[in-house]
Amino acid sequence: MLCLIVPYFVSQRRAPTGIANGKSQKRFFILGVLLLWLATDWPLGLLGASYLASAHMLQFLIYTMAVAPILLLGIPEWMARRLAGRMRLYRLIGRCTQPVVAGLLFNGMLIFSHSPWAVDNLRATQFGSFAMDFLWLIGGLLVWAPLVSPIPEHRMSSYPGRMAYLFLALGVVPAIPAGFLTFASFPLYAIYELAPRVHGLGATTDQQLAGLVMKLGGIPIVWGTIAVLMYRWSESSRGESAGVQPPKRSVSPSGDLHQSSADPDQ
Amino acid sequence: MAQGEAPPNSSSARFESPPQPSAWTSFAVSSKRPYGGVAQLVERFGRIEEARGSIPLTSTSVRTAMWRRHILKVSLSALLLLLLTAGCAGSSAERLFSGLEVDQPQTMPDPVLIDTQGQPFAMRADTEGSARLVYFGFTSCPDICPVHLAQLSDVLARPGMPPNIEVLFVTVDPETDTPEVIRDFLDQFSTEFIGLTGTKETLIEVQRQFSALVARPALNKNGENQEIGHDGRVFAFAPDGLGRTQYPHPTRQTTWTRDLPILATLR
Repeated sequence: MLCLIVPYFVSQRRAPTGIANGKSQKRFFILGVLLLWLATDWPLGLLGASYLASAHMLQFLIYTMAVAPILLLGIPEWMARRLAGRMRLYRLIGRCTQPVVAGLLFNGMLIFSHSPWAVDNLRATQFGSFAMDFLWLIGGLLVWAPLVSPIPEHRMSSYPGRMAYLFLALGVVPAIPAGFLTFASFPLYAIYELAPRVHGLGATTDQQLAGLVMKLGGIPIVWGTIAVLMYRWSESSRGESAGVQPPKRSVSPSGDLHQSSADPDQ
Repeated sequence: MAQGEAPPNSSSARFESPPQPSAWTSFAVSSKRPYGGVAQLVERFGRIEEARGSIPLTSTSVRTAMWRRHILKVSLSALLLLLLTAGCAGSSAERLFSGLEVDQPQTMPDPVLIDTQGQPFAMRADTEGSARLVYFGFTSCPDICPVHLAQLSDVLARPGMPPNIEVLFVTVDPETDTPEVIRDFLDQFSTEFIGLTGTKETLIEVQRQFSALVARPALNKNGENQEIGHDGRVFAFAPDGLGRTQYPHPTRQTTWTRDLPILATLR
């Protein structure tokens, strides 16, 4: 947590002159870090790492559906550009956040990280468990970047495209492993099957619960976001038809930062 | 390095004359070998390097070494395949259970212990006609005992499981595990599970009769009793009274579900 918070606030002090540091962004960032802490630490972290498949799935949901987009909303554009430039990741991030690539990477990560092999092997050690959490966070950041990236040129521009992307990337593929978990007749993950039961919850029931969490847990977020996008789209269309420029939707208050979109890697 | 130029390393200094370009020519002509893949690449590398003079090997020695390695690889692969085939054939033909199958099944001992109603209970005679799963544990066990019992509870509740299966839980901690404590503990998993206790000496003798590792207190760093080390196996006896197989910790539900119906039919 400190590795995220300290650099964030230190770099806030070194913000470029003339750029107002948005309070809402700081709040988003702190909220994201708090949610990350909630998903990682006791009790959810312990339950998800060793005892309950449903807790494991809830962790996944928090990492990818809440922490990742909220952290992205909390990062100012100048900070994202500076970070990407210094680490020479601008071009890589640009490629990975293309909607098709991001969707494929996220869903590949989702299927891999919920395969019995990966869960049983990674969850068996503390380092493996950390690697899985890290993978989820990176996957979440990637999949949400085309929608809420702090770097405007990495965001998708059209509303219908965003809605279609959201539905396809976050709503369709997760149903497959969720279906396997819900309808499997035997526990798939040895680590949860052979763990002492928590409050008498059977291994198969726990797994079915995990499937339901995966299938249903993301629905409010995905469809809620789609509803918001649809509303903004209608507002934007109304504004255009009235001949008035609609208010610019910006997640970053630093939209006035007219930086060149040239590749800072070079 | 240019072709035919002697390299400055010490190994090639043994060669007085630089390698002939004919080596390269012969390679190009004879590039079709009866063997391919890695072997051919390695030979090609060897011959190129030889032509360049960077390695002190002759064509014959490289080829011979490669052939030997190739023959060795083929032989090992054939041997492995043979072993695997034999192993698979043997396992499917002979192994009946997925658990640890017992080579020479022994008849189940019939000691008389005290059940959770406080009544005498003969372990074999009172479970005649049923498959018996005998487990030695204690109610305050933090991991193995509750997991085994929860697994059995889940499996036995599945549709299609034979009704004639009895789970016998024998405590190894009679001082703590009174009949009431055992009943309360077992009821968390199933009210059908049978709990048994007895005197300390009797229970040690019973563990020996079942060839189980006799439970003993495990001491912590300060020399105090911390928990009890005990046998983690479930001893499975068919209705005919023979101990056919054993299940160590951890045993998955797929294994139990496959084996128990078979065990219950052996009369």
